[in-house]
Amino acid sequence: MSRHLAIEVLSSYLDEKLSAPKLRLVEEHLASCADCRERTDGLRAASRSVKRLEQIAPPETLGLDVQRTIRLEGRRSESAMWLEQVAGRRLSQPVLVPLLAIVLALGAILYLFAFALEQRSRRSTRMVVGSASMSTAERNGGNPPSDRPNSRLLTHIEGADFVLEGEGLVTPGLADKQVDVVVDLRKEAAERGLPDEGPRPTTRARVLFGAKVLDLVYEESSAP
Amino acid sequence: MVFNLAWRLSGNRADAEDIAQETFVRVFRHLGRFKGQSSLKTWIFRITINCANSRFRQQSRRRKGRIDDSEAELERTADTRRTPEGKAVAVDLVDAVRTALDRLPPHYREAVLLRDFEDMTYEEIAAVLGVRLGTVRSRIARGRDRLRAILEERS
Repeated sequence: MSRHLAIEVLSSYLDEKLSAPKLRLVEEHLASCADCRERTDGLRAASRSVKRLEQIAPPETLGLDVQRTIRLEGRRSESAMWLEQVAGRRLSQPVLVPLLAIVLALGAILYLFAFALEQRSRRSTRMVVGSASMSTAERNGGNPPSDRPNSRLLTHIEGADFVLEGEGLVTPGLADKQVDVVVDLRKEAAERGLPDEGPRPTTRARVLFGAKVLDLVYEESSAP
Repeated sequence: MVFNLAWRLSGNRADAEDIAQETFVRVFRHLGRFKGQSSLKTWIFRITINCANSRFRQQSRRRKGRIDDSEAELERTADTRRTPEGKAVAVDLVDAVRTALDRLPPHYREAVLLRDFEDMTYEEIAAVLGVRLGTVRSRIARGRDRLRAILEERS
């Protein structure tokens, strides 16, 4: 054994963490080494000074404060919690609010940009023209499905003085009774003063109709 | 128990209250993650120490305790039968120990407090701190030795 015992050995001795053989050696050494005894006494005094610190009663409001904080946390938005998890640490309120504002603003800008891009690429206009009476389409609505057009559409638009004519495929059993027809509007556009947006050999018209009334929606598209 | 450990770790009441509150909120939030691999006490103490350390990092340095915190501490203890002289001595003693603890490196302070104040076993301390038994033994010993030196220097 070295001249003096290591501090870890003395501390373990105080905590009664030494094996029996080692304990015997330490006790023999302490009996003969005043320095190590003094050091052991110092360690014991330090340990006792901490042990003597008394238990302190927590503030009465601690429980209420915890409950209030948990309630407030419950009200935080899921996105905030998600951000917090992504960040891997708790974001403080002063950081979180501007961060959320920036994210929302970026989202809005992206949405508007995507919307404008889509409109431009489709180069289409969509407008509800009005209600119209159904003629041929209704009569042919019960025909079996076919790849070939199985109905012709002839509609009068209420309040207008022209007639739309086209053909399309009516699929029986569709809940919304939808038929896509291709309408040649070149003539109509020229004669009836519809907005002239360049050449449009055909215009796809989607006709949604209920029992008696057609709601006619133009979807003009540059796609063939 | 959480509040007491928080007080001893931080050395002042204001931080202790915040640390204890944050600990309970985290316990509530993450209770589903507790797998029972350690005791609940060990798990909660580990959270307490993590809360204290993150708070100290935010503050960049620990807020120093004040003598009025020592008096407030005595006001909160169970023994209210002290004479004025006894109270003065007790305040001085509490302040001396707290100041000494405050001067310890955090990993020594944690180990000494868990052993001598919370009376935990070496194995429990190893679980709380996430270190090996040998490290626990070393930190307790060196922490006590530093504490002894500081207290002797003061007296």
